This record gives sequence, C-alpha cells and structure tokens, in this order.
Amino acid sequence: MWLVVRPVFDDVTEITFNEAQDVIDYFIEKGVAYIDLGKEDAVREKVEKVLFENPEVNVHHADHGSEDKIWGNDNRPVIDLANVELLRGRAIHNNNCSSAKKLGVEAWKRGCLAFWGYTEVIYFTTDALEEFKEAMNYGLKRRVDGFSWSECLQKTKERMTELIDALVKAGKALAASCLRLDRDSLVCYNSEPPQSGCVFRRLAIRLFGPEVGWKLRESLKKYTRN
Amino acid sequence: MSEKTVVESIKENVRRQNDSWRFVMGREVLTKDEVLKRLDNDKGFRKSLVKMVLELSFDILARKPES
Repeated sequence: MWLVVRPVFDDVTEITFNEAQDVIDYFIEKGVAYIDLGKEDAVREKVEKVLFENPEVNVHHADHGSEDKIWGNDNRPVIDLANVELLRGRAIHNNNCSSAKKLGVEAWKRGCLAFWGYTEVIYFTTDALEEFKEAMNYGLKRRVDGFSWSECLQKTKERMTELIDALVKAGKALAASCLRLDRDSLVCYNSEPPQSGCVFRRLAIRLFGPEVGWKLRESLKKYTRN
Repeated sequence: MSEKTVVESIKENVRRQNDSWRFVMGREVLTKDEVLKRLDNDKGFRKSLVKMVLELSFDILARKPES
C-alpha cells in the first residue's frame, strides 16, 4: 500500500500535484492500494497518523523538499529529522528537491527500506512538463511493475537519458539540460548506500563498509557511554 | 568558444519560448523576461546556466555509440 502526500500551495505544487495524479492513476490501473492525502489533508499530523496506523504503507511525496525535510500544505514539514524514524521499514519515493541530501541519509541509517530522491534542487521548464512528469514517476511505476529498487534506478536513469535526447532533438535544449541535472542528482539509498563528502566518513565506509561506516559516530558514542 | 557566446545562445533559446514559458529551480519560478534579465545581471545565475548547458554537451559527447 502507498500513501500519496501531495500539497498544493503555489505554482510548482500545482504541477507536482498533477504529477502525483499520474501515479495514482497508475495505482488504480494496476490495482495497488493507496491513501491520498492531498491539499489541506497533506499535513504532518495526518501523515503521522496514517504511518502509525499502517506499518506496511510506503510513501510517495510530491511537493517541495529541503535537505533535511519534506514539506506539507501548511508551511510545516510532514517528515523531518524529528520524525524520520517513521520511515523505518518503509520505502519512500520523493518527487521533491534535495531531500536525499540529509533526510535520506538519516532515513537510510534508521532502516528505511528505500529512500528514492534527489540530492540537489530539481530544475525543469514548462515546455516539457510531460517529459518531466514521466521522468519523475518512472521509478515508482517500475517498482509497481515488480522490479527491484536497484533495477528501477537503472531503468529510470536510462529513460531520463532517452528523454534528454528526445528533448535535444525537439529543440528544447534548456529542458534537456535541466533533466540531465535532475538525472545526475537522483539516488536511491537501498540499491546504493549514501555517499559522504567527509574524508573521515569516507575512510570509515571504505574500512568497515557503509552499514558500520555511516553509523560509526553513533556506535562510538554508545560504546563510550557504556 | 567564450562564455559570452554560450550566454548569447541561451538567450536566443529563451527568446524563442512563448510568454507562458517558465524556468523552475526548486521554489523559484522565473518568466522568460526574468531569465533574460538575470542572465545579464546575476553572475552566479549566468555561470550556473552556462555550466548546465556545457555539461549537457559533455554528456552527449562522452556517450559511446550504440552497438
């Protein structure tokens, strides 16, 4: 089952709301159960309630995001570092900016099954909304089709490259440039562990592997406390 | 090719768009005129657009031919 969170409060969220409708239409076509928290229902308390009551539900969020949070309809985050624990044991598919940078890493460290998202701001142009919609939703649709997250990521990046080429051919070079940026910042923390910019963290990951390397500081804190 | 030439090509592309065209960077939504203005006045914006366009070219050039 999927929880679709899709606020609307500005021009961009009008577009992401419609992109989420495309996901819902695919769920209906494929017989996938879903809960739709749209517009004024897309707020923190309602999202938390659904997640508490449905331990098996996965999340699709279509809205603005920041490095450490994803936003709701009322200018408050629906998930941030304070309630990221709610993502343990679930997958989350993000159509939002930058949330893979910090929130995704924290979610992955806490046992989120798959955190799909972007490490940077998402760019797009309105002369290619159909192509961007296809790119943003492609991975989730392939997941519904039964592919592993790793396969979904690979297939999505391949499809994005095809769309980039089609946009170039159609004379939409700026749209193609935007989609290339989006493609390169798309990650899925499941098929691949997060990458770190910190030299010490990278060394720890190389020495002990991502599972231990990413949690070294927490493990050391626990060890010194005991 | 100088940065000036690349910027001029980007501007040409933007001028060709219709008036409802928007360039979106996260929460920031720019009209055609706003993009053209910022290309003239905002060095950071200009550099990031030039980088974006050049990276697309490098991406295409680096591709292996399909077998």
